[in-house]
Amino acid sequence: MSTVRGMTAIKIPTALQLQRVPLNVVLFTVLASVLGLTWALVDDLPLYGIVGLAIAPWMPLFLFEALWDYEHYGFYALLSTFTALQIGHMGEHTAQVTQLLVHKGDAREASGVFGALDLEVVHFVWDSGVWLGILGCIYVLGFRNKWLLISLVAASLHEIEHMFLIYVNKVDPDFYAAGGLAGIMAKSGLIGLPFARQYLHFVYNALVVIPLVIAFWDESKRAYNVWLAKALPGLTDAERIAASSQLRRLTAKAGEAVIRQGEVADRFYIVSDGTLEVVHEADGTETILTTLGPGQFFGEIGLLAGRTRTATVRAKTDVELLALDAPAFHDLVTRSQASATHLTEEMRRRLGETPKPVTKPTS
Amino acid sequence: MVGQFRNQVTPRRVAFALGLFLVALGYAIFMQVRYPPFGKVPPTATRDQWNDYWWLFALCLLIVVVVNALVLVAAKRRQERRDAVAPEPVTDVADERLNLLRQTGLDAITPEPPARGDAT
Repeated sequence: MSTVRGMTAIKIPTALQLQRVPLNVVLFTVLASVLGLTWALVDDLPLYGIVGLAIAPWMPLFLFEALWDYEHYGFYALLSTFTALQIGHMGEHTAQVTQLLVHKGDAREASGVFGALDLEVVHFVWDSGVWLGILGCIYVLGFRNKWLLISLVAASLHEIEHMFLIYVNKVDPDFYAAGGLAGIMAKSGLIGLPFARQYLHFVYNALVVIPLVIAFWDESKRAYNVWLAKALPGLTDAERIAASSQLRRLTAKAGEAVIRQGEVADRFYIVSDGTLEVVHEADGTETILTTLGPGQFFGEIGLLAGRTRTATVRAKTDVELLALDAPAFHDLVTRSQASATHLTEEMRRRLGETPKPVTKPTS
Repeated sequence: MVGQFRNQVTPRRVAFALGLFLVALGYAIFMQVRYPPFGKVPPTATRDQWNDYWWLFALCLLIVVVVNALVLVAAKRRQERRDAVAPEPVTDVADERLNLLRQTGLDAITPEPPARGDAT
């Protein structure tokens, strides 16, 4: 967080920022969503039609961005999708409670937005997925995120309730219809709190979602780009996180030169997609020195040596690159002993020098 | 950087989470008092009928507790394995690392164009 004129401003973590989808596509999506919403309202479509048309244009954008996130942030992208779906689920329960408010408690008018899905088996499958998903997150991330553990406790209570309900629903439908649908904790249920089922499950979901979103926010600030880790494996997690926030996504079409021989060196590049060729030009002839692919880097020599580019790097295919500006690169090299050594050795190898050990500072 | 994540459960965050939850709970209590749901089939199950299902509650509770325990133990072991192979954090970071790099790594670089390799 940073402070702006005495106020605390929340900085959106890099992993949560849109990377692949350009701003004009976002604006176009907003427009399509508004048009869909207007059409649905004018045509007096049912609630699921209104909401469906409003969110449908966002689906391709969300998927496109989520795929990029998965390629660059791995498990974190799954956590993002999981959290987003669970927020949507909470929205459905909130809609149901709001319908009860609007219809003054008439349960026949309160089945949420997608009322056709208000089935016991759907509730069971979804909430089992939430419970197992949180367990999966803890398995992968370990115990470092305490908020996930809080969410797990709530999801476990909810899961016990839905296991109970699905059994009664499928094995003893008469009892289910006679009041068994209240389950364990709802009013008139096995234990029976004062809450009706609709309100109880709204509270259950709030208890799951609130810590889950806080856990997700924490993980957003820990996420680092896996391509940075592949290119510079000696970085510590803290260095990866710090450098990831400085990475800029760039693309180039096949045949386009990313850097040109003789230009001033201003960036360090990591290849995340596609292939490039390194070309040295002399006396009007070009010599292809090497080909670079995903996980490899270039541009370090010009920055480290403070010299102009000594070769041209050209895209062989459409490529995606992650670029670090010169100050961020120097900061990374200054802080990371392992990466400084790695980059030096790679630079020497590329320049045809025999690697020499880096000596320790005497001071 | 990582150090700042160690203390996640701060009083401020707990207050934030608790505040949000109390809003949700308050809304539910308000709704229950003001608009108790009606309009669907009223419950007619007797206490005796309910009492036949305590075993199901116990079974569901057992399943969830056992699965949680198994996964949490597996997660703990996985964490221990990862900790065992994790490299020592680099702590010997000199402020003058870049100068050192220049002194030791670039002495041999000549201004001539490279003979081979990626000359970036």
